[in-house]
Amino acid sequence: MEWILGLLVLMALAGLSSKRKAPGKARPQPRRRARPTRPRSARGVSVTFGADPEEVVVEQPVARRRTASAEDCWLPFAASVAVGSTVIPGPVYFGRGLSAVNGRGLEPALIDPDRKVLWGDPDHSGNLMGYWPSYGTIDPRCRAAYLWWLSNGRRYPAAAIGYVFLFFYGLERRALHDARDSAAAREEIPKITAEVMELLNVYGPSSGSFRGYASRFLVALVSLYPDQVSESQIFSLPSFADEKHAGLELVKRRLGRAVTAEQPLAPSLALAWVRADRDYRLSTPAQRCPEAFDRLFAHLYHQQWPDGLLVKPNKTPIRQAYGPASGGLSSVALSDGHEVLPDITVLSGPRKRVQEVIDTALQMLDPYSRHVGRAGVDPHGLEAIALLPEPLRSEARRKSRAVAGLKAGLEEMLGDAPTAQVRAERLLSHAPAWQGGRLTKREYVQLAQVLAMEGYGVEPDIRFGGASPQPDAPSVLFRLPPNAPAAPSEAYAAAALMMGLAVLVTAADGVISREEGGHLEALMEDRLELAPAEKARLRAHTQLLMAAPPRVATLAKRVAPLPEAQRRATGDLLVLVAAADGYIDPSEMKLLSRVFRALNIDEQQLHALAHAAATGPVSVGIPGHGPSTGAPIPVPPSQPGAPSAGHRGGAGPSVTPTPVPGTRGRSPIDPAVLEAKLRETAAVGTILAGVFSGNEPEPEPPPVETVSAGAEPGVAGLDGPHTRLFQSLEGRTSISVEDFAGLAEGHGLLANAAFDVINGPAFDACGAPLLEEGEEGVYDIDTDIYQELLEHDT
Amino acid sequence: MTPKIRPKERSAILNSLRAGVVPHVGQHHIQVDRAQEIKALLGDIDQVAEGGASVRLVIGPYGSGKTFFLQLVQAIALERKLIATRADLNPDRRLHATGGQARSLYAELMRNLATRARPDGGALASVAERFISDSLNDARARDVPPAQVIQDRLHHLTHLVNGFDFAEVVGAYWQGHESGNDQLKSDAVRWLRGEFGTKTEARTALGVRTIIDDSNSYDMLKLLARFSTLAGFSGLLVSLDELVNLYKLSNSRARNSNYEQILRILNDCLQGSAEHLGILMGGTPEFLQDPRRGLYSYEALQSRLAENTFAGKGIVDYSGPVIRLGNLSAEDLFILLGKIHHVMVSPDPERVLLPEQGIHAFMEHCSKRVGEAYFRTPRTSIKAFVDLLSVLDQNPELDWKELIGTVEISEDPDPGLEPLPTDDEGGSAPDDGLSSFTL
Repeated sequence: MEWILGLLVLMALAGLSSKRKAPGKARPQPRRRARPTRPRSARGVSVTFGADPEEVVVEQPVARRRTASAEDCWLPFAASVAVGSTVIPGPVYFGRGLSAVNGRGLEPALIDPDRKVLWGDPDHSGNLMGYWPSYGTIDPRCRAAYLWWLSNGRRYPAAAIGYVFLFFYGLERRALHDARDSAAAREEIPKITAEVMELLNVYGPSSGSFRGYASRFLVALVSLYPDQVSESQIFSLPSFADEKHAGLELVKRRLGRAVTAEQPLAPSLALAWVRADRDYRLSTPAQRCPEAFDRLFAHLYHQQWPDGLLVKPNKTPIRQAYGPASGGLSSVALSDGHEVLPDITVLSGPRKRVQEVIDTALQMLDPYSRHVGRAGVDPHGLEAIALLPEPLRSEARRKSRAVAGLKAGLEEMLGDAPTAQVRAERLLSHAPAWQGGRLTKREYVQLAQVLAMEGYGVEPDIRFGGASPQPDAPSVLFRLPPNAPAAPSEAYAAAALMMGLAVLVTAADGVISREEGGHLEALMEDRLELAPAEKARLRAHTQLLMAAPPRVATLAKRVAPLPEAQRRATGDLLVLVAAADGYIDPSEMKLLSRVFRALNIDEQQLHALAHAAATGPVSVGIPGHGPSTGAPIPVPPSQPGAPSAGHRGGAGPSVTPTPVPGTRGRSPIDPAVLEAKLRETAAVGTILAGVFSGNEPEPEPPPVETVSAGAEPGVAGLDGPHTRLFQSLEGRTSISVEDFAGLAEGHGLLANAAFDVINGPAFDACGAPLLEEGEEGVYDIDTDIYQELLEHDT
Repeated sequence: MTPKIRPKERSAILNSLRAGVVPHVGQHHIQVDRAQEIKALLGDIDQVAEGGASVRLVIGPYGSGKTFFLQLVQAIALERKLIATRADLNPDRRLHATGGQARSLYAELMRNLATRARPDGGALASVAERFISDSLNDARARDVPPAQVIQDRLHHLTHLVNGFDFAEVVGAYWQGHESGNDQLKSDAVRWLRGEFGTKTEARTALGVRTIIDDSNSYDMLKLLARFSTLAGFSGLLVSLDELVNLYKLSNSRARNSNYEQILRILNDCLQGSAEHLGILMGGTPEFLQDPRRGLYSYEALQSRLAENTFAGKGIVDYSGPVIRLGNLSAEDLFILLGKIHHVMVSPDPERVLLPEQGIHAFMEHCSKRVGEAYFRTPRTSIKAFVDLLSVLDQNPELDWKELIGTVEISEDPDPGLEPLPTDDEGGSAPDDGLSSFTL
């Protein structure tokens, strides 16, 4: 009674279902949509609905009636059977009454020779196929198409995927079920694997569903029969990487095995791990240039983990099961009875670290990827090579013909010289990728990069603070020592800047004198602590500067951000450079003044230095290894950041100006200098003594003497009235101004003149005055001199 | 051969140094080095005495001894029987002006006019009287009226600017003397000093039509230079200090007209249109070099002042109009301190207040206190040194070592050793800390 009830229910369902399934809409994708209409079985009665609404076939229950074993029905590889005029090759199940493994009716893959086949009207499109098809229940027209497909080698690309699945069900059963008990079936595993891989190649790209099942099936095979199926064999399948789920399962196993064996992860495995992650999508560069990406990743990976990333095993085991496509099979646990591997994909730490490396690689590859993504771009051209990440370049360079051409052209320009000054357009003529007028910044940087790769440098270089030159502007090509930096070090930046300023100042008076040129050379060679590559660049930079002197405003912009100590040191140096020819020209002064303002340092400093340069020998030195003629300028206590103290610590060039001779800093007295100074001072003493002693070498005739000619002889050559005035002062030590005026008038003299005249002989004879203005209104009289004058006279 | 140091010189030197200023007399006792510069200036003075003219720009940074050098040269000039005068330029005293500042400079120069007998200035009347006195002698000898002699002797000045009125004023001075009219004499001196503000005033007092004003003050100097030779002197040396004040003028027209005046002076002196006149100008390097506001900003001066391009690197050309003074070195200061010691112990040169290692210790002390610049701006160091010597002089029982040691452990920074503000070249220093050690 129960089964009658069940039958009624099912019949009602069938009516419903047949309405929904119009024959034209039937699709070969069995899985998702198929679920609701999956054949139900109740109490041993199997009911399957055909695609045709007219043809509802109700079968008698057959499941319990095992009429045949799998081995009976199995038609192995290379065997074949004839159905009518059609020869069907193995491997297929062929026969009658083989029930499904899970007991739900007959085996879907079983080709039953009793079933009707409508040979005349095969349904190649598969439109009549239902979901979860079974050979026993599909339309006779479909059977015709299926058998046709089988007999024609199973590789017809346009075949409906339903037929492929129908065939695939058989392989599933054979490998997952039969092979457990049958040694013969197990021996067929490799062949089945190969068959699936080939099917995957043919039908994988067009059917995601098949790709998924087939891939997972392969993984299941690898898990169940590791001795017979090579993991790497299927892992290398191109379509495999796209099937994330299957990939992840495989990767899990590989990871687990590597971890268990305490082996570091190979880069490809690490990459696969992240790649197989459902939530992670490799961005465009990896897809556009997969080969370059893989190589770059491997390089970076080895950089990060030279021996490979080592992950400790965790406790979470890998739990995997295979849900077969066939409706006649149940889910198969893959780990049961096999090795238990740890599942490290649940760990986020190591994966993140790998992901970081991948991100780095993607980022590095991005410019190149973008470039080659453009239409009509040569992926081996100079520009592309310039954009390749460094680790990939060397090989690309070796292969590129454009690079070889460039190299030949540059060698021709350079000849044997370390540098060659050429017009920019000539340089560009050897780099066909970038011809045509002035290059953009990006292009010019790329050119410079390519040149650097080949061991050449160019000035101006935007990366080092230059600008893309006009085609007719000068540029300097030079040989770049290996391992040259791609960005200016702080020292180089300061040195280049200083050199710019120095050239500017040097050129201010119209000529660059030999001393000045020498100064610049010396600065470069010894004073600035630069790496060889930087030295070479600076030399070229200087050559360029001399060919085309810079403008103050340009340099000022670059100077502004420097720390004060460095700006001061720069200013000091410039003064010395300008004074190197012994003299600071007013035009140089003018420029220096502008530069000092640009440097934002006190112009007082400029004047003091310029003055010092004009009064003494000038040398440029560094404490410790500077020229011995100079010593550092002493630092005033109020300026802690003054040149000799401040800039040594920084990366800036260490240049200490030493303009003042003899200013010896800490050691207070230099005996040699002191000796010389004492000699000079003694010489001065002699000169001054000659002036001030009163014993002058060339005596001047006293002005009064001539006038007093004929008068009575006076004291000390004074004339009559003055002598009398002189005599009237005898015995006095002082006299008031009024009294003196009175006395003078009494002798018919003018007081002020008499004061002067009477002092004359005293100065001449004794070097000191007789009368001297003392306190207010009083003249002091020096009695010693008075006596001396009297005696002198006698 | 050290010249004898007169007590008056000794006290003048020591007092000036203690006050942080340059002594007016006796500079030669403490001169260190600079033989070349002094030789060059001696040559200039001889040239002036022989009827030529000379102009020099003495350029040196703060503390390099510009003022000292100018004073020394002035003293030499006085010894060589020149009359000499000096003045600092300031905003109210300029070479060229329209608001009385040039006359003000002239007046200052006349107030400071010095002769050998009056080295401290105020010798204008002396010069006039020397001339009159000579003229009187001449008149007596030739038996002609003194007025005639004066007129004759001044005659060849009358073709110069203001020359005629100058002669008149000198004549008026004689008349005042002759007639005992002191008012007339002082009016004449006032006129010569440029102290008359209006022409009317001058006409009322002296009967002359002109006065000395901004426009003719420099001409008056040329006139005075010639007049000095008539008064028995060899010429006139004018020292102008602090020319940086011209550089500081913010009005570019005012600045340029002053520079133009300097150009005129340069031209006069170098081309020979001035006689018996020497001019020294002291200024800082920026005054000379600054391409925007310094002398170099004035094209015509730039080429005239351009230094010898073959000089430099220790080779100094002392014949150009620019004389550069470098800062003192430590060795210079050492010698200088020795010399100051020598002045201090005079008249007994054998006496020792502070031995040589004491000077070393003192310099060491200075360098600790003021840093290494102590010898480049030596004013405060010297001042402290004189104070130290003076304490030792008055308290012979004190040990210099202890004294310097006491200074060192003192917690208060010694204000006497702190550098002066740079714009205060001749300014007074704050009271020194060392004087407080008087026991």
